[in-house]
Formats: sequence, C-alpha cells, structure tokens
Amino acid sequence: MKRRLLTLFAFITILSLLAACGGQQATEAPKAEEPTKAAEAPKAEEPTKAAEPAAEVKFKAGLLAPGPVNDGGWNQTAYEGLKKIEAELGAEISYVETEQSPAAFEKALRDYASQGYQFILAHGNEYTDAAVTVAPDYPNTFFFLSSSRFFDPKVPNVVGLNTDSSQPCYVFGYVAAKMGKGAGLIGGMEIPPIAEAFTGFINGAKAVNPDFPVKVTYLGNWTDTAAAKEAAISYVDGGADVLLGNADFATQGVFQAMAEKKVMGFSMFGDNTDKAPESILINYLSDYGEGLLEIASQVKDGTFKPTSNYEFGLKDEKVMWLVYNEKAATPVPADLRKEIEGVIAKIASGEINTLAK
Amino acid sequence: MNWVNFRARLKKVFRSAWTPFAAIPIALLLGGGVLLLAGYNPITAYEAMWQGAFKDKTAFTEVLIKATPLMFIGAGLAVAFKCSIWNIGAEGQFYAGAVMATVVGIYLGDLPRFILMPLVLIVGVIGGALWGMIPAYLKNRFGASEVVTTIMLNYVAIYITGYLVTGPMIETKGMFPQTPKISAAAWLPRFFPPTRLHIGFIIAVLLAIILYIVIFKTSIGYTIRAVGINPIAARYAGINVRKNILLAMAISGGAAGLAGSVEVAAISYRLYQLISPGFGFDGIAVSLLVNNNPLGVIFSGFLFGALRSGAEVMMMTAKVPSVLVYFIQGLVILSVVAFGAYRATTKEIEE
Repeated sequence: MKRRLLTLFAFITILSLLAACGGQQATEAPKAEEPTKAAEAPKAEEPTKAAEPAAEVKFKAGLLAPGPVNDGGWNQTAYEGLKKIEAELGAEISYVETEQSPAAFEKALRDYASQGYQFILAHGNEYTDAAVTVAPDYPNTFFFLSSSRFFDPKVPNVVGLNTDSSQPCYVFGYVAAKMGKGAGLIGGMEIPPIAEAFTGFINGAKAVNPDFPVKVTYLGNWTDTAAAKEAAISYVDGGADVLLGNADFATQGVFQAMAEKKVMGFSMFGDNTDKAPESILINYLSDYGEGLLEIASQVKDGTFKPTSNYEFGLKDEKVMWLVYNEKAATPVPADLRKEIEGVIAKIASGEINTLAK
Repeated sequence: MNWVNFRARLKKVFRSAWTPFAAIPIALLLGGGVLLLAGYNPITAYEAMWQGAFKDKTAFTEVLIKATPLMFIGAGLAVAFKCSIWNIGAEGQFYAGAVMATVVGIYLGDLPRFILMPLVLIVGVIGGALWGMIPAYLKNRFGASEVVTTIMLNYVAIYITGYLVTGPMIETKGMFPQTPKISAAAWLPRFFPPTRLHIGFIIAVLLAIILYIVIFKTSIGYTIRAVGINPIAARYAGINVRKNILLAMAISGGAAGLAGSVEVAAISYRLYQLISPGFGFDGIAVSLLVNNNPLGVIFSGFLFGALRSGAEVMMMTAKVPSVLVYFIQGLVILSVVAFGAYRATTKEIEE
C-alpha cells in the first residue's frame, strides 16, 4: 500500500511538473527573446530598435568567483567590491561560483558577455586562458583578472589587477621579528599571490633579524581547516609564537590554532579579530572594491582605456591599510608603531622592495 | 486483456525505467519549496536553470561537454559496480589519465597528428587502468577494502598532480601552477565551432554502448556480473574471481582515465592543480541513477550535465546564492540514492 502511494505520488509530481513546464514555456517565450533581440538589435534592426537600448543601456557587472562569496576572505573581497559598484554606480550585478574546472570558465564568461555585461571580474589568475579566448568575441566588454599581471595589447579588453600582499606582509614579518621568537606561515596553494605575500613576510622579518626562523607550508587546497589548524599547531609546538594564515577559507583553522595555543598572529583580507581576539595583532584590511569601483566607473563612462595592468599597494590607502588590535594580549607597542609608519612610507615610495629575493 | 498481468507489467516497466527519473522532479519540487522559503521565486529560478541548459545551440553543446566526462566515468563505474567492486576512486583515475595525456601531449608533441591524437587518449586509458588496478591487486592479495584504498589513492593522484604542476612540469614562464599547453597536434577536433563540442562526446557515447554490450551480451560480462552477485558461488562455478575483479577495475579505471585525457586534449589543453571539480564522485551518482546500466549512463550523464550547466545560470540570472544551488543539486543526488534504495528493498521483498 505504501509503495502504491509513493508510486502515485511520483506520477502526480511528474504530471504536475510537465504541466508546469508546459505553462511556463508559454509565458517564458517572450521573455527569453528579449535579451537576444537586444543584443542583436544593433546589427539586425538598426533603424527601429537600436536607438532604444542604446539610450538606456544598463551598466552590468558580473563576477566569477572560484569559491563561496561569504568565505570571509578572497572571494568576499570581490563580492563586496561588486556590491559597492552596485551601490555607487547603480549597476546591475550578478555573481557565479564557477566549478573548479577549466571547462566551466569559458562558458561562464560567455554567458555574462553575451548578456551584455560590460564589466566582468574573473577573480583569479586561473581564468586567464578562458578570458583571452573569449575576449575578442566581445570587444565591448572588459574582462578583469584578479591577482594577475596580465596585459597584452593584442587583447586590450583583458586587464590584470594585482593587489600586492607582499607589502602588508612585510610589515607583519617586521613586527613578528620584533615581538616573537619564530613564525609559521600556512598557505593554501603555492601560487604567486600567496608565495609573494610570504616572501614579503620573510623579507620584513629578515630586515629586523636575519636569523629569525620562518617556516612555510602549503595545504594544497583552500578549504581544509582541520589541516590548516594541525599545521599551525605543529609550528607552535616547534617553537613558533607568531602565525599567519593565507589560505582563503582554510585560514579559519589557523585562527583556531592561534586562539587555542594563545600565540600571536595576523589576519589578512578582513577583520578577523573576533576569531582570535587576544592573538591577532594587526589586521590587514583591503578594500579591493575601492580599486574596482574606480575602474568600473571609468568603464561605465566609456573613458577606460587601459595601457597596462593595474597594481595596488600600500600607496593606495583606500585599497589597502592596516588596523591594530588594541585588545590583543600584547598589543603592538607605541614605539614600534612609529617605526612601522616609517616602514610603510618607505614601501609606498618604493624605497623598500618587499619582493626582493 | 488480462488486467492484473498488464498492471504487473506496467509496474515493472515503470519501476525499471521511470522510478529513478521520478527522483529528479521530486527533488526539484522540494528544492522549490526551499527556494520559496528563502524568498526566491522557484519558477524564475528553474526557468533560468532551463534556459542555462537549453537556451540555444551553444548552451546545449555546453551541456554535452559537461556530460562527457560524467558519461565516461559513469559507464566505467557501472562495470565495477556490477561486479560489486565499490570504486570510489574514479577521481584519482581521472587525474592519472589527465597526467599521462599531458605528459605525452607535451613531451612527444612533435609526433604527427594521426599518431599523437590517439596516443594521448590511449595513454590516458592506460594511466587510469593502472591506477584502478592498484586497489584491485590490494584487494586480491591482502583483502584490503577497495572503498578505502580507492579513496586514499584519489589524494595520492591529486597531490602528484599538484607536485607536477608546481614543480617539474610548470610552464616555462614559471609563474602559475600549470603546465604549458600540450602540442596543438594532440587537440581533439571540435564540431561546429565556435561551440566547443568535441569528438570526445561521440567517444563517450560509443564507450557506453560498447560497455553495455560487454556487460550484458558477452561471456566476459556474464562472469563479471556473476562475481558481483555472489563471489563464492562464482568461484564454485569455476570463475576466476580475482581476474574478474582486476578486469572490472581496469575497465572502470581506464574509462575514468580516458575522461581525464579527453578533458585535457579537448578542453583545457593543459594540466592544472584542480582539473576535476569532482567528476569522479558525480560519476558514482550518474551510474547509480540508472541502476549501473552503461547505456542508461548516456541519459543520466546528460541529466547531470544539464543540472550543472543550469545551476550556473541559476546563480547568474536568477541571482540565487550558490549555497542554495548546491543544496538543490544535493537534494537531487540524495533522492536518487533514496529511490535506488527503495527499489532495492522492494525487489528483495518481491523475490
């Protein structure tokens, strides 16, 4: 009896779904045609339709994120930037969390470009190949690549945007060597943005004490918080008393280790003081959105004519700055803060090369 | 007409063909309820999903592209599952195939096209098959559970790939963890450009048909199935159980390896650290959905491809957050499994 009921239930659902689909199709049809018409209008029906959409072209900004946009790290910075573009420029925004497969990238880029998005942010260097392939087909769309130094005059509508994390990390390393005995750095994957940040940290530490021990490990992914925590704890057990995680979501594990082991630490790409309130000395905050907003407003006005890739650093105070945690068990002392001001000024002026080998 | 007989027959047809597919609408219906609760219009959301998969030629070919690796893997897994070998390692076997294909595609890139192209696919099969035969050997020799060993070998394959693309095989610029592009001579031909539909799709369909014939119409398939139903009885009947386990794993690993090499040779043209978004695990559901029938995998693979393709557009145009989209996809897979279990229990009761 139960089985028969279930079968009946299944039948009814299929039927209702079919009915729903049928009905949907009818209402769907006119809607579906609109965007394609609008896109083709300039070519096909110039005299009548072209004028209308051209008069009120909506500024649209899309985001391809490699992970969840509420990760409190990498992807969230981009999403918040997108929200800023929505608020300030009245743009229509949309994001998609792409499958981590090169097969998916090209399609997502095309989906946005063909819907008339003028500003597409592909949030990671892994999207480069796909963007370069797609870009020539959509000359009116700008494709921006995060953490990339890409620029090629042959595809002028693909522009790399890089935030130089090695600069704030240089400051972290400097503070670590002043206040601690040894540092453990936990990275997600060994890719340039992460490796460069750690190079900055090491350079900063060596500037204070050339023998300051810094150990680096890479998890091989961005999600394994447990592995991040274990790695951090093993560093603490090995004598390190300063931790820095740069592993996107997995960084949460590093914060847990800081709080549990009561050691010092730093936070990147967001204020994470609440996750290890006594441990975190400095938060490196970045408002990638400010950088994006500036570019997006130029794209919207049609004045954006890139001649090179974009590099953001401590010189761009609206994009990148540091905030001390006053509630830390051992806050950064005042005289050290003075010193750091000088260091930051030197980095911003280019006197200190945080990426020196 | 004999009403009872007819009803029994109808029921049988319904159960074998339609039950698994009823799982999808039910899951979507439940998902619609959740969307509604979360404040999204389920009709708009599903409309976007439908559009994403079937809007035009490009969208449709993208579904087929997404379905291709799932068809390969699903068809291979069907063979292993028919043998009651629970191969959870298709993900690793996919990587093994992708690595082999990339190695050949780069280092033997000077070979002429008509040799290089098939060679890339063949080494992919060999890589996947060998990777799949390791757990089979461990099971035969030491009785190690293949569920555990195949899962562990996934990580081994993924980390080997990570090592290769950050170390010895990193592109010459040495910037990002990816290999250089494989020789253009190894690229699989694409149909109707500018769409990306490639010949790998045809190969996947052919493989599914061939594996169906092998499993259900040949004596090799018969012995594999016999081992799957009862290995002890099979041994008493004079069937070499170990050989069949090894064979089933080689076929299933080879198919996953082929999926990996096709993905490299037709889509990505190079190797990345994370080249698979979990095809190997989706493949399990693809196979289970159609009761491990390789022929059915063509349809279930297509269905999953459409779900995945549509899901992206659901995020893009209906602005449904990714968490909800994954939730709905998860619901579909769960209900498929639940229906599979339901079918299995009712069958037992009847028999």
